[in-house]
Amino acid sequence: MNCAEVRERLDAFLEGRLDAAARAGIEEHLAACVECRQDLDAARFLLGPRAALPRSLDPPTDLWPRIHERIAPRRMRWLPLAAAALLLVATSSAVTLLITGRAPADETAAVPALEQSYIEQAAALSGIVERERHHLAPGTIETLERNLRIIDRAIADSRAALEADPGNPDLRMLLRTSHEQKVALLEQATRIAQEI
Amino acid sequence: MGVHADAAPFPTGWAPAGSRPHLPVTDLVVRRAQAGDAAAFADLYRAHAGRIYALCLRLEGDAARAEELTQDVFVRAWERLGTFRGGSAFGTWLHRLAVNVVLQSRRSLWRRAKRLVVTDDPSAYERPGDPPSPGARLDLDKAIAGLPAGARTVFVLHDVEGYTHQEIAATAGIAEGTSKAQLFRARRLLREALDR
Repeated sequence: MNCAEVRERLDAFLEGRLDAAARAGIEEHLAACVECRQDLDAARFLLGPRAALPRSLDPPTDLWPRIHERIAPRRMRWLPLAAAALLLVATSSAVTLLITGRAPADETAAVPALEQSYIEQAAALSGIVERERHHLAPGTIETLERNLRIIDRAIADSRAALEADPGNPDLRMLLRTSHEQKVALLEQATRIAQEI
Repeated sequence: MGVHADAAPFPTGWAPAGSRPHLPVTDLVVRRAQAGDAAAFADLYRAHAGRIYALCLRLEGDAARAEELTQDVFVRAWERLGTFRGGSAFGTWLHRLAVNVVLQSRRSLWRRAKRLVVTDDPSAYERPGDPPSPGARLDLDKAIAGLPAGARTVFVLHDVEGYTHQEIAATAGIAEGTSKAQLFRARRLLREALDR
């Protein structure tokens, strides 16, 4: 047995986990090799102190306040950003309505055509958010999903109302605004996930 | 520095109000934290801080650095909570994360040092910890702090935390042979330090 083979089995030798033949091979090598004897002595010497090491040591100070400070801004910053995004979309739709006196476009488009590009944009952005999801804090993901559920309900309501009254321009605008809110929210989530 | 056993992460009988009795308490706390509940995450911190601080302290050999790293570990854990799927115990997941945080932080320090002094030998950047004071009988933790970084890392992960050389090699980005050599080097140095 050479030094590398002995070292490989030294812990098992010390702990009595070897069969008689392997033990004899190591003992024979140790009798002739000072280096390996020193390794065995060191390992044996450390067995007691190692076993006595505490696995847990209290930090000298409570670190939680500093940890909480570092995670809190990331948790909270989502809310103002989401609110700002929603406000921006709502304001832009309102301004368009005021200036033109009507919804920006698609006044006569069929509902599926009206929604198509928004649905595609939202799907593409959702894919990015899903891929980057592991970068987002759990609180951010929860808030995002909760807001998306609210917007999806608004989209479904507007769509149902518009299908019942296809010529109503206000319902058309409401449907479009809800889609824009969803896209804006997902864009913001993408930006946050890619910044972190 | 206080020391406590870490056999049970929570006091016996502790359970949040309204918890489902068939689920382990830690699972419920982890789920609440994953949903963005900072108070639940504080409970996880209190349950695991001692274990993580002990690991950081032994790997770095410096109390102030261990405090910084313990904070970094919990901030990273908060950010990555969504990736914990419960395949292993939360403590095991957190422990692995902590080892990665400490080793990544050290690699980053090495990279910064490399910009100042050019050499291909990473051991050139190993700074031994504070040398043990002569004449005094040292405890094992103090002696570990006095080891060079490479030997300290392998000793702590192998002899204290129970990692295999294969796992150490994969985590620390070194060859298995290097891990084995560093272990024997560490044991001899520790024996010398403790035997004075």
